[in-house]
Amino acid sequence: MLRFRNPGTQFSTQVQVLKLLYKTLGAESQFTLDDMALIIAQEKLMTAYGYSGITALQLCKTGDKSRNSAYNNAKMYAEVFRMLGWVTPAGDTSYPLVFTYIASHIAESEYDCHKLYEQCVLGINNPTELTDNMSYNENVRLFKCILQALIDLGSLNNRELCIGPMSVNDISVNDYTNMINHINNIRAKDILLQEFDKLSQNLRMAQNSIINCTRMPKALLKACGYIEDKTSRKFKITQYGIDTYNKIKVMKDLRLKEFNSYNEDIQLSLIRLGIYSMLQRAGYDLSDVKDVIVADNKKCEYILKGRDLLFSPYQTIKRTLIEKALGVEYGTKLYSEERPNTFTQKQKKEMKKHIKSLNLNVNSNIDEKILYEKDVQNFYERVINLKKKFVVNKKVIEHLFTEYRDSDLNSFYPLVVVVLKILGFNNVFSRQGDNGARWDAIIIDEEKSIPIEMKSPKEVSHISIKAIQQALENKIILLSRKTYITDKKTTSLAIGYYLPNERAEVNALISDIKNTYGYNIGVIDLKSLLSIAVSIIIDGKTFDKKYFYELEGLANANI
Amino acid sequence: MQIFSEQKIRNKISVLKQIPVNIEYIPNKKSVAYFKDGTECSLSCLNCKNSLCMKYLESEISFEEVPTFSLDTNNNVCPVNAIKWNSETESPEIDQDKCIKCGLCIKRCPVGAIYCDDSVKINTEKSSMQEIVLSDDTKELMQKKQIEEILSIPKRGTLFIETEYLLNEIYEKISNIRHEVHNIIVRNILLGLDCSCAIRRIGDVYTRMDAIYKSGDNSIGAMEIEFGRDTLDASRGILDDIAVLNTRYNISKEQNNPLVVCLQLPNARQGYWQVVKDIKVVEGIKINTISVGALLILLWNNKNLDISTNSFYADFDNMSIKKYVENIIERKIELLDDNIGIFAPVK
Repeated sequence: MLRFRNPGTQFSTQVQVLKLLYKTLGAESQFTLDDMALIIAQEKLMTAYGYSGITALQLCKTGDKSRNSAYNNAKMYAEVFRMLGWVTPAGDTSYPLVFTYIASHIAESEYDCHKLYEQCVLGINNPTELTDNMSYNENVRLFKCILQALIDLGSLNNRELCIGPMSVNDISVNDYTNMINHINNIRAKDILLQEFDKLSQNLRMAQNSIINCTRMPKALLKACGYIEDKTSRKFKITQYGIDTYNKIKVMKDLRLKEFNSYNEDIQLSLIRLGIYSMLQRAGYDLSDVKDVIVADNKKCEYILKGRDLLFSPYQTIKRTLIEKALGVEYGTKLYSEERPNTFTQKQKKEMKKHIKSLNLNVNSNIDEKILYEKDVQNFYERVINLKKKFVVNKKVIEHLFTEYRDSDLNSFYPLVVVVLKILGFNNVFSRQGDNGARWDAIIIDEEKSIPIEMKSPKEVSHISIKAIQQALENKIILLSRKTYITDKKTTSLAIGYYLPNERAEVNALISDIKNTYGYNIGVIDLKSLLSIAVSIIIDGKTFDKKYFYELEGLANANI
Repeated sequence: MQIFSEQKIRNKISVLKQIPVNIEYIPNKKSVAYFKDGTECSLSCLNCKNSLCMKYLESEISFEEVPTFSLDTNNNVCPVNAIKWNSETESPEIDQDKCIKCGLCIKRCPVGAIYCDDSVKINTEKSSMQEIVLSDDTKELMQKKQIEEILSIPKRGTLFIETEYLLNEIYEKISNIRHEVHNIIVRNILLGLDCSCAIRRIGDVYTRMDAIYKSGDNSIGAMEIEFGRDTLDASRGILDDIAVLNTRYNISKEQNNPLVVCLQLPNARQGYWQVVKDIKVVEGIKINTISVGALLILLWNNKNLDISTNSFYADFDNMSIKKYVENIIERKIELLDDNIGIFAPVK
């Protein structure tokens, strides 16, 4: 089955990014993914952690390229552009890249290039000289095949698309007919899920990963207006799709194997005819090369037999021969631009502030009164028993932490309340049963009440931006409605199972909130709370509550 | 290297014999152009080289006040792509299945050649004040100058009369539209109301705010767009947006005039209106709330939106925005709004 990654597929954005890259790099450049990432960032076509431009690029930099979102963003565009025949490898390796003659036309277009884009979509075919190491070997012009299948079958859904057009050799009439019969048979026997499972096993791919491969083709079908733009499990062909298929089905569909069977002189003519016919169908004025077209057509008459040619050279073969045929030369020099690799001192300081983690100091005594409460007693006893069993505190904490991994709000909220009581916050109440309250729990204090936003692991495993937004809202509501007394600088807490995944962005938002409104938002994970509680119960350590009252940012109390 | 030029997609264009002094929109009928010599007629499509009914210019969708905002550059006037160029007839045409009757293309046409009776249509009947000419550089330049001149003349009248039937029809269509289109619908309506507006680029998961806008001379603000029912997300989002705009884009909290645009105004029980009031009490921030229907009514009445002079602040003490709309259009609105939620929450 053909595989497509799942990149951003907005037609207008693809054209916009191509135009921008071409404007900066030019036809003469050989360029890398890093070059692309830099230009995309400079032109603010990407953001990271709420920042755009070069700051975004710097924030994305990690030692591991697979986790560098700027690099991956550029890679995603490179893959789409390569698939559409807008960029191609400069040499025998995948990178650096160069633009193609088709890309020049897209980049220089005054209009939205929709028609040429469509020709590029129809140009997608397999196999090609550019896809040596692919794990699939179907011989198919995918979008022509999908259009034909949509006409023959009336509609397709994602799974049928994978089992059908994405897994067929449409070059063989028999194979194509068998595929259509197979899908009709699947429908008649209602065995789509079983057949899709078989496909998943054969490909050794997770079913979701296979389904994800349909996003790109479906987005291209929609962008070209070939399928109805509706959110539906089944997609149907439009009249425009039918008209397009009727036009292309009578064309000479030239594939790699046949192309390679001709001598170079014929190949050069076919390349010119392929590209010129794409441009002509896209509405370009080719009267200047009319004579060349006539001569090439004459030379290839025994192949074309009066038919128009459906062949996109850049999407099928390497660039050297194409450039020879067209008399053009792309990528004559390596693009080089000084890149900002280092942070300024000011930026470093800002970043440090963003990723600051507070280590809680554990140093005050447990209040005996709370030990009379049943929930607290139970927790206390469990910790003591676990200590006897595991000996080491760390294992006690790990055991408790793991036990609550799948807890919902009905078990998570009470646990947090008990742990906060052990930390010395006697008057803490969960809002369970109180639909009027916006916070999930509240530490009631004579002067400094603290609203708490909680996220159980069943809801979300990591504390999210949304929890921070809710903690801010809780603070404002408490100050406005004066349900309990508090002041501006007392923190508003967000508590969850794990600390946020997007730590830099959460820290940035907390810092933005402080700078704008003057409020402290504190974030604590369950393991930190358990660590403090266990150290209080077992080691008799004490905890100074004032650290909570003005906590800002992510708290982490690993012991 | 020879880069081929794209073929002209217009062999013929229409030019005016005289520039009208005024154009009047008439609900359910073709608009009427008035000329100095007393002639009155409906003008037909000019086949403009840059079809204003179809595309925004780059300058129209840019946002100068926050140049670093990662904005979406979709420049289609029709949010649902219902208006397309037909190269055979050499004029725009409207796909009635897609059209949501928002009126944006009608408002954009420089000569009022688009109108709506039972459906949105393009007037292609040539008038006595126009002539069809073969398109060449000279004629295109002449047409461009004429359009520039026409754009500066006043237009009066009303595009549509608001009715429950029409608004229900529009709301039903909008409710079934893909989520990604919601922000584009709102941006384009705001552009139609003479505001600047930039929406977050589709696919940008890091920019949380839906949009920023500027209306009048000074009113700039964060925008949250909520077509669903979880409007509490909108008020929370606004607080986040204000903080981000303050620290990262130098738009201070005091300067920020935030706007929440909903399809239906939030239900009274959802808590939204109370939180809006809390935010005003504690932070002094007045969140403006407006529905898509209210924005459309302003657009259809050929009005502009300026939040700095016409606040759309409503909260738990008064959840209606009807008087704000009536103030701008300078007349009472007779519309049963019980089930739509355009001016007040649905009961």
